[in-house]
Amino acid sequence: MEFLELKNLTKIYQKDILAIDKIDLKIKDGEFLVLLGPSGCGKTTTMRMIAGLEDVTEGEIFIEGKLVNNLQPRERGVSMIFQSYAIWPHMTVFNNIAYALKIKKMSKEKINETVKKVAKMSNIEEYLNRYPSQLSGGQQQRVAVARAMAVDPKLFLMDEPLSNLDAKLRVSMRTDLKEMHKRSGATTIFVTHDQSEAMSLADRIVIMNTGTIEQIGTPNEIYHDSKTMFVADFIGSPSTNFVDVKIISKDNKLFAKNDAFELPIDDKFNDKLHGYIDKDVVFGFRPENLVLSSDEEKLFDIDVVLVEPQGSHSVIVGRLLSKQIKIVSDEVRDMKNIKTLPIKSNGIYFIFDKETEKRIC
Amino acid sequence: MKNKYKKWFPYFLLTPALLYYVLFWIRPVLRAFFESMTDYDGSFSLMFFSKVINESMFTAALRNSLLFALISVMLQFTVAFMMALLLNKKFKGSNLLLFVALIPMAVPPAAVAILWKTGFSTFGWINNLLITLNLIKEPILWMTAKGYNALLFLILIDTWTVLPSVMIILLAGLQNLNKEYEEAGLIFGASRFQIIKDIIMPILKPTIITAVILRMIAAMQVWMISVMMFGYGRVPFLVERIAYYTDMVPMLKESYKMSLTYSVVVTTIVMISVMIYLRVNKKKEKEVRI
Repeated sequence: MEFLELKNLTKIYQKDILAIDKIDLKIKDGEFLVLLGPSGCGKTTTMRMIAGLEDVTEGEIFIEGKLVNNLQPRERGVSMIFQSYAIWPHMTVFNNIAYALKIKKMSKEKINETVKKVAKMSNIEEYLNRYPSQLSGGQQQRVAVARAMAVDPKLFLMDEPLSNLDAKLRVSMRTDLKEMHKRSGATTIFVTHDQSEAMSLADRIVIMNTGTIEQIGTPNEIYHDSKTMFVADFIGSPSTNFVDVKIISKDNKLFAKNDAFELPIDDKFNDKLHGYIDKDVVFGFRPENLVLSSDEEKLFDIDVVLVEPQGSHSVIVGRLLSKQIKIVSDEVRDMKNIKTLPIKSNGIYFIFDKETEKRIC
Repeated sequence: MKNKYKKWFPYFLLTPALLYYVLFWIRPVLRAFFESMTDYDGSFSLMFFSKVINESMFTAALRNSLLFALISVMLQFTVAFMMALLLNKKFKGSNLLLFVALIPMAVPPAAVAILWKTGFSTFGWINNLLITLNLIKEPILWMTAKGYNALLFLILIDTWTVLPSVMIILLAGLQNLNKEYEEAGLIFGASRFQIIKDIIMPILKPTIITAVILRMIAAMQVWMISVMMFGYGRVPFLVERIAYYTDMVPMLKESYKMSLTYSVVVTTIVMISVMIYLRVNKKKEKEVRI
């Protein structure tokens, strides 16, 4: 059975602003699920409805098969890490962690024991008597994690918990969170707009856009098998290069043709592309799937605009038919004397319907 | 040279304000202390303090002032805090409610007294309203209220007047509060009441202290509504006595010194009460920390 299920979940603000549009989602017990999307896509609203901090306009939320729509947050068995951490400034670290336990009327010894345990797990044992203002951002983050763990929740909710940390700390904290999840095994929903965070943490990623779910899948599925142009564009850095082409048929062989090139299409796609002959479609090339080539084998030339060195590789920014193209290469380090580069496809590409922006193959 | 200039420049900028304070604040205050502690001929004497204390109205004025301050501050804080909590929730009509709640702030004290005086007169609008609603048969003689009833009356009128100013301070504090503190409380199992008691009030403490101290000082100095409603001497307050001596009987030989002595007494009481309040708060804070 699913641990958490969202059915037809809808949120409308102020009568006419549609924040969440009929989403369905099932989450397995112990799963680490990441809600990923640009700001305003409804990911935080979805999480807040699951937590009970936001009313549900329509649809149902089930936790372990039980309808929780009308339950108070504290009756849902959830625990949350907030974006601002929201650790209470007038309480010591100890009291912050112990507060929920005190409300539950846990015995003093049991509280002490629990607080010590989670403080040790979160590496904040020596700060228990300090106030939040005396701690660094990373330490405050750990307090928020410890507080959330202390109540031993069935479901962890994390609302962009790493976004206020500096880049280096963010990476190390996310490893810690992942480890913690492995140890505790609690089902976790994690909201972020940072794709690398999502990719490295998630069992499955839910990509959201303007209140709807674009795609649900493992990090690899999301990247290598993007179902829509939005996903192909949003996931990956640099993002997918989109090129407008027309499908043409010559001697039973299909080609993608535009003013710059004519690319033979693998025969295995023939069935799917059958209805698209002589129509415009969009080709999506991931940056690593456009490779440098010799002049003989090249598909097209790009005018190099600039080269961004990244150390292990470089990002080459070029132009094709006055549209920007980004490719990655470990051969070109800088753009000394480079005006144009011959490029070919390595045979991996997405083809999208121009109207629906859905993937054809 | 340049350093010297830099060092003195701030003081130079402060001079006008400083001059103002010395002339119009420090000088009169020192003067008041001096006058209250000397005889007519200028020799040191506590005669006027004993005169003030032995005056027939003094005990009543002191009792009224303290009671007024204590009850009105508690009442105003409680009601204002509840109103602020309510108005802080965004709901339909909350802006209109805020607007209505702020109206009394725009009415000057003299107008307030007139408003209520006409209301509470035997054939005023309050009696009219009560009779129309069939709640009473005969008009109530409000204005003949004496002693504690009259004091309670004044407390209610004062509360009506100053509630918005207390509320607006608390509301400003609430609006600055990170909403996630409250939400964390909800998630981690606190009830509405526990959230207010354990989370909102302690975090809002600096704002609360400011609001309460401002009210305490103002409440100790109440006089005008009493005089406007009941005239001098009916419900005496400490500052009402000052006004009495400077306004009603300025020609008496002792009036000048009596009013200054009262001023010194009021100032001292206000300072002591504020100090006690701050001390109590600090002590509580220490207890919480342990």
